[in-house]
Amino acid sequence: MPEHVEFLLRFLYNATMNNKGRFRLWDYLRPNKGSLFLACFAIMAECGLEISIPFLMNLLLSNGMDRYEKDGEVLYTLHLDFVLLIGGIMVAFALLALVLGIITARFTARTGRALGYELRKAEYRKIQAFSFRNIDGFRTNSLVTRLTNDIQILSDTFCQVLRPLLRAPIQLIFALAFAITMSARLSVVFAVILPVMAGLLIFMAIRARPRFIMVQKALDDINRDTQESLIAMRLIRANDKAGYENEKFAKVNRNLASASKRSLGFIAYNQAIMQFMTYSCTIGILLVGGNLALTAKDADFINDMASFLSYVAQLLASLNMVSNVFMSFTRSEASLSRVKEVMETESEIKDTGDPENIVENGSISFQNVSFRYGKSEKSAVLKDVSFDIPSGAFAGIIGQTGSSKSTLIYLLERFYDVDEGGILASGKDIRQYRLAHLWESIAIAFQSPRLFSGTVRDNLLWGNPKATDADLWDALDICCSKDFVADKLPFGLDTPIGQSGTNVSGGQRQRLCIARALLRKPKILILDDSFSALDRITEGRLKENLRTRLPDMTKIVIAQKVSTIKDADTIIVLNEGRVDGIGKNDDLLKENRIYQDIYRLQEEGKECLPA
Amino acid sequence: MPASLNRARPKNFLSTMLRLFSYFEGKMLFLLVLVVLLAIYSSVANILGTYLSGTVVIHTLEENLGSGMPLEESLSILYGQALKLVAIYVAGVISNILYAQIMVRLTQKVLYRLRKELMAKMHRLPISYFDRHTHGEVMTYFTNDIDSLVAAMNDSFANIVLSLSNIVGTVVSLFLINVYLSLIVLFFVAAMIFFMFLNSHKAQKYYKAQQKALSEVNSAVEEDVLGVKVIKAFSHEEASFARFMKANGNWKEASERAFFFTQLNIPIFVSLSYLNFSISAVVGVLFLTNGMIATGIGGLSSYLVFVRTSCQPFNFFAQHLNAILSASAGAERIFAFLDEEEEQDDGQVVLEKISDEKDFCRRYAWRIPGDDTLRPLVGRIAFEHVDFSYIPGKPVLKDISFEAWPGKKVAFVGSTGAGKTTIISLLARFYPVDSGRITYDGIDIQDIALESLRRALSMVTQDTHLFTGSVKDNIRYVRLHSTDEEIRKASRRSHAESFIERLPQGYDTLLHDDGGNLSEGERQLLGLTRASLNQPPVLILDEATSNIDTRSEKLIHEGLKSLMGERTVLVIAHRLSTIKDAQEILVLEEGRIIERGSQEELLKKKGAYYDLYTGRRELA
Repeated sequence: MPEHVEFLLRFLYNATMNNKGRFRLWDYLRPNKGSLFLACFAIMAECGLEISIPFLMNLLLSNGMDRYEKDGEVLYTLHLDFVLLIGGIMVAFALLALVLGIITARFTARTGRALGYELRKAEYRKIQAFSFRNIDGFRTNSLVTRLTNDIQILSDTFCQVLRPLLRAPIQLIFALAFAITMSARLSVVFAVILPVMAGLLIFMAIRARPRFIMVQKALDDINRDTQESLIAMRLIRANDKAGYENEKFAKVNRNLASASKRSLGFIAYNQAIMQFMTYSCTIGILLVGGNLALTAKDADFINDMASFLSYVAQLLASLNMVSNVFMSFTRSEASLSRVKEVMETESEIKDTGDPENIVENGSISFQNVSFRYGKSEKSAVLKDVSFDIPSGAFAGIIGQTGSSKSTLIYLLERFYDVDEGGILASGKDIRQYRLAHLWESIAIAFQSPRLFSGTVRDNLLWGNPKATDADLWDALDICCSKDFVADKLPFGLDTPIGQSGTNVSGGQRQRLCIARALLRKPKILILDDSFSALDRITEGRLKENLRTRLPDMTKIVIAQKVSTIKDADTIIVLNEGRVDGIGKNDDLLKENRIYQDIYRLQEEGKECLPA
Repeated sequence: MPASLNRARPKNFLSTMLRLFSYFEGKMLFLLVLVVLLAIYSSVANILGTYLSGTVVIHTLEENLGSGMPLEESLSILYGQALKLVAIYVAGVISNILYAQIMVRLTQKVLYRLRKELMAKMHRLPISYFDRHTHGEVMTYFTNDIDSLVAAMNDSFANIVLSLSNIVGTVVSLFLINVYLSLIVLFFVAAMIFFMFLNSHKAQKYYKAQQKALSEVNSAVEEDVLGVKVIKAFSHEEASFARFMKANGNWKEASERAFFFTQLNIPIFVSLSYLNFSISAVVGVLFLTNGMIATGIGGLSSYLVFVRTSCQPFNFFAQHLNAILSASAGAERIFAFLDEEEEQDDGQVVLEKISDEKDFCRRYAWRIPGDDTLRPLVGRIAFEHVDFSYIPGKPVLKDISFEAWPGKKVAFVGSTGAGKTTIISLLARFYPVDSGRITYDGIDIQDIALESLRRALSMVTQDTHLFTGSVKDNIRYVRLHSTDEEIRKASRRSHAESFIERLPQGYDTLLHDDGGNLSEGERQLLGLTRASLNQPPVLILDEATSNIDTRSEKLIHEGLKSLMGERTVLVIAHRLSTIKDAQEILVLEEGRIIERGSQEELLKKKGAYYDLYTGRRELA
């Protein structure tokens, strides 16, 4: 069944459908079903009023006066009471229509916007629950469009479509009923025209669907290019690449324009097709009916034909409405299926750990761990990695750029699940803990120090929302940032930080990120190259603070410099995804070639230091 | 931004619309006029067709039947009239197809141009703009605001023309039937138009609020999706969610209000049209019984049917009006963005290509206006008593002076936040200096066209940014015409080749999401490769190797040495080992230079640098 038909059906019959675990639009309408019901009721009642107006008119004209002839002249006597009564009823209808219309507007707006609100909420939640692999798979720019533009389209469509969607069938049925009572013979024409129209509509919807999917994809690209340009603004300016960026953008811009042209141009034929059908129907009735009437010399039949034609016009107008609704559905269906795709993606990281399991200490054990990022990738990123780190130890990880140091700790955080082997924290496999608990116990300062818009305090509270100012200052103190926050920033903890922390320097960002991690009071702290922008003194003091003030916390430090981890309790040397050596500085200096190399180079750098 | 918001009064509706129309120029304007004409014809065809089929054909049929005209003859009259109808209808359908297709194309042409202008504008805004606005905010202009224009221009423009001509057509035919009765209709039409203006005024305000709320949702979404990995690791889901939900809630409220107010037009039109109908009917009956309607009851009946249909185009109109109002809100925001103040660039001095030599300095020279001779491009940089502050009254740099020339390496040392990166931002003119001046080859950089100034600098920034595309293309970014061989050579120099070759498709590996799974170190290697491919005489390295292991750094250093030899090099680094060969080291503290000299001199001096080096002192 084509998706859009499904969409339409779900819209109407979803209450009766039972498709467990699948994405249903109805689930996001349900919280506001009261409003939805009211809106639907008001729309249909208003439609009822509209249909009854012609009856009132006929009543007025037939009973409001008496026709008589005097001296060959046609005259009328007025039944004023009756005329005023009908007039009064019509005024009452007008007021009623106003009230119903306001109810329609109010509750359509409420339901439609609430639908957008609920959908966006659920999708946001879903993305939050994604595993890192899911996020890698979708691309962030696409997720952004799916959460913003796609939802907007769905909410707009709902708001715009609800009224015609309910009115059209009612009008259609009434017009059809009248037409049939008027002339059953002529109504045969509908038996031909209706299936043809339905067929055409479905054909158009099927052909239009891929075109609209292309539009949303092109929109993803627009978002991607804009986002990338924004992120890399300084690089672009420094290299004077605005011209190149504009050219690059011209390509995606052209793609969007031509995809839009193809899709919107295609469904624009819809109106013409509907007109064509209406017109040929009219002409057909005139020709066939006229022919019949003339040959049969049937004057009454001609009269029937005249009224029949006016019903045909009404009927086709409502069909036109149906086709517009259908095209709106087709258009938004592309967005719906994109949202659905997100909603039906399951995180392959299963949070099935036992809440009873607690990370009691900071001991870590890697047991024959192997891992690759994509199932299709040829070579594993980590191969047969095994080591142990006792609780409270200071462990260093060192290795060449590209030796998978970060991957190692991503596995410890269970951002990805290992392919082979296992990782134990506090003696238990990390898969036996709840993820939230695992992340609370193992805090990380990422390699790229990302802060969020908000104040310094807001950012630090990420670590622990309940932290007091004293806690914050304490963490800042450990990270050697107390002075800088207190004295250098204009409003101390309340200084706003721009998106991605662009208005604090790299070193400051790194320290704030470490403080944020510390506030979690973790059993294990991971610092992924978090000292790279710090000067030597600050680095030394920070390490000393961690050691003396948080002796029970296991500290894992990834570093580029030997000096950073020289005094660690254990040093793990990684090389191309394998453990090349484990030990203390002195052991490694004796035995490990790679470590020796790194060490020697670093010492050479210092050779001009006066003794 | 606040200034432009204050300016955004509802009367801007007209000027916004006029400005939007100004995008239809030349041939497009002609086509737009054609669309209007075709839409009018389409509505005329519809009205005329209904009239012909309903009145004329049926009437002639009746008459011919009544007069006992021979079958042949009356049939041929019927066919003749049907043929006329066919002609009118076919032309109607064709004009519908034409105007719809033309409008779709015109719309996309205008939107294409608007997006293009938005992007170009974005690249001309001062860097400080991006310190103040979130990415999501800027992205909203490209997506949602543009989107609000699609519906309006694509469907609503032609449909509004169509319904307007329908309204005019029916009102005119009502007057032809009965002038006095039609005054009632005219009164109600006027009331509807009056109310529409009144309500639209309000609705427009709410639409603007909706677009703004939407932009806030987009900001939150963009930031949170980009940072979702951090959010997860910090179990910050709840707080991020709460912040997002606030924006989402605001959006719901604002957009609900906007939709409600524009929808309000419909019940009011419907209700007014019922009133209109009932008054017309009652008065019509009174007229009739007083002998004021010559055509009798049949005439009144068909008049009333006409009154009823005369209100339908209003309903139609009201629906499309919503799209127009929403578009005007979107367009107004887009135009406000396009009117933002741009990065100042009144420099007249430009780099001029003087030869096809490979060497950058021999290829280009400075062209100074009013000077007949070209000034050779050398790469001499001088800061003369430069002061600077991001926020007035909070100086970041004070009295900075130094000189650098080809072959000279100047290093900046200082604690985080001492102002090292700011110095480099000033050289690239990301921000203007407060006082003092910066010269390049003796020319004040204020006088150099931005494009030329930045072309003469090669910068490796703290964060390496990567674009969607292959590794090769990302390296090539700084010099687009580089051959594959040059790229390979450059990556060998920066020792990036070994890691690139380990990637699944080597140089052709596609990168996504700002370099996705590459580590910081790998990204920096790519950044350095870019620098080594780039040729300008001034090379700036801002913490360019901080995430690269010492072993690789040493190798890179060797590789880049030949390259640095003949260039002016400005370097910021924390690892003192990497700057030991600098001819001059500037020690910065709180935006001032507190010490300067070669490493040897500074160590001999036993001052701040010595203390720093030996760990006796920390720079505050």
